[in-house]
Order: sequence, then C-alpha cells, then structure tokens
Amino acid sequence: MTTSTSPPDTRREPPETGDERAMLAGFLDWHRETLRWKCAGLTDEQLRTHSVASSGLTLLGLVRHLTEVERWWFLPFLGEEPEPVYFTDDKPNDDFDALDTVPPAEVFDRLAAEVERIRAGVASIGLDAEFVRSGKAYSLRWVHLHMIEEYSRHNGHADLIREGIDGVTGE
Amino acid sequence: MEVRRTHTRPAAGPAAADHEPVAARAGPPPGDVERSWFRCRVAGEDAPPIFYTQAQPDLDIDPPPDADPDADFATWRAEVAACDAAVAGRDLDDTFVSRTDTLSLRWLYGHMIEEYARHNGHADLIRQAIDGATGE
Repeated sequence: MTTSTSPPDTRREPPETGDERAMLAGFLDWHRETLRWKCAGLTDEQLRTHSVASSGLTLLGLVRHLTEVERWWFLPFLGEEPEPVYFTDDKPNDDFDALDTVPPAEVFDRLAAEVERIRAGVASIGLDAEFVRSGKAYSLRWVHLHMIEEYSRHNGHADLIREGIDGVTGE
Repeated sequence: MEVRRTHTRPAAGPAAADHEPVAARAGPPPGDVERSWFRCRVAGEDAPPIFYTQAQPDLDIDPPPDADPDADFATWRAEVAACDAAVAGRDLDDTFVSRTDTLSLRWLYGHMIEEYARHNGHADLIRQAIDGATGE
C-alpha cells in the first residue's frame, strides 16, 4: 500500500447553531461532498477496485448507489416517481456491480445534477411535508435524517475502500 | 436511537474477541466520544477519559491485548445511559462551548448520528471480514 497525499478539501462545515433546516441541509451536503472527496484524484480503474478483499463494494458502486437513493427518497417530494437509473428488477444490485455500463465521469455528473435539482426542488417545501409509499408516510424531516445516516454509513465504507486503494485516510 | 443500537450487534458474535481488523478502525465502542461531548462539554462534568490516557491517546481505537470486550461493552452501555441522563430536559437550541466554537445540542445530535453511522460503516466491513456477516 502506498501513502498518498489527500486531495484538496473544499467541503463546507454545517452550521453549528441555528435553525433545524439549515443544519440538516448542511450535514447532508457535507456528506455528499465527503463522498466526492473520497473519490477525488483516482483513476477509473481505481474507482472500480474492490480494495477490501472480503467485500464487493467499490467507490464507483457507492456513487451509483447513492444516485439511486437520492432519487428514491427525494423525487416523491418533487412529484416524480423514481425510476431506477443503474439497476433493473431482474438485476437489483447492478447499481453496485455493473460498473462498466456508464463511464465514471458521467456517473459523477449525473449525481451532481440530481443533487442540484433535488436541493432546489425541496428548498421551498416544509420539513413536515409527507409522502406516502406502501401505506407508510415519510416526512421530509425524516428523509433528511435518513439521508445523513445513509451517506455517513457509506462514507464509512468509502473510508476503508479508499485506504485500501492508496492509503489515503481522513474524516 | 437506531444507529446507536446498531453498534451493539457485533457483540453477539463469538468472533468479537479474536478478530483480524481489515484496517486500524477496530476498537471498543465509542464510550469516550459520548462522554466527552454529552457529559463534559454539554453538561460541564469533569469526567476523565475512559479508555485512553494523555500519554496513550489512541488506546480507545487500538485496545490493549488484555482488553475485556464484555467489560468494555458494559462500560459503553452505562456511558450511553449516563449521557442520556446528563442532557435530559435540555432544549435543542441550548448551546455549549467546545474550544472556541459555540455549538447547539441540535448540532451535537446531528453530529453523533453521523459519527455512529460512519463508524457503523467501518463496522460493516470489519464484521464481514471476520465471519462474512452483513446487514444494514
């Protein structure tokens, strides 16, 4: 394992006091940016590398998966039914696994575009707004918290995968 | 808190005491993180570190060979209860000072959720490497 220099860190810290909305959005954006930071400066081959031998996870697979997760939880608030981008009913794990179908640069651009329109679309919607799926109601507040834990947990995977690729660590 | 409870799952496995971590991320549960934030900084208690010392600041994340997992898990669970009690009744807008920063209790809950969730991500891969067990 080689030791590399961490890529430049341009992430913005979430607000430390103040209203709930800005704080939830701030934590979520920090983790969205953290996933990008964990992927920065790597080749396409490295992004597709299973560096933790016992796990099939890759950094590119995580980015593809989070694209699906963003759409799954936020698009109902934009009045859209989320259709899968990278997987199918027959191959439900292809977001993690079918890494040769779309070039990595396009995968990153797609996630950035989805996040941008989601951020703009929910900005004027209250945290108490709800949508119903399979008979269960979910508030926009819950979706923010869930997305923070979702990104955080996958960023924990990204920590170990990145360290396995080139030795880079960092919170 | 679901994320907090999730951290107890590895304790149930027989392999918890003799694992080979995939990276230097193993260690006892984050009792010191809980204590330093909720009891020391929010509640102002003068509680010393549990698992590490000034001379050996990484003893929490790199436990000594004679560390007792059962005792460490019990210590952590007790610390969680003490932390919950220490901040019970406080408002989420209440603030406290950490070094030079003023932070709200709301921020701390948000931070602890990301802290546990990220370490649970580490735990996912460590546990899978130990015995193949996976699960969200």
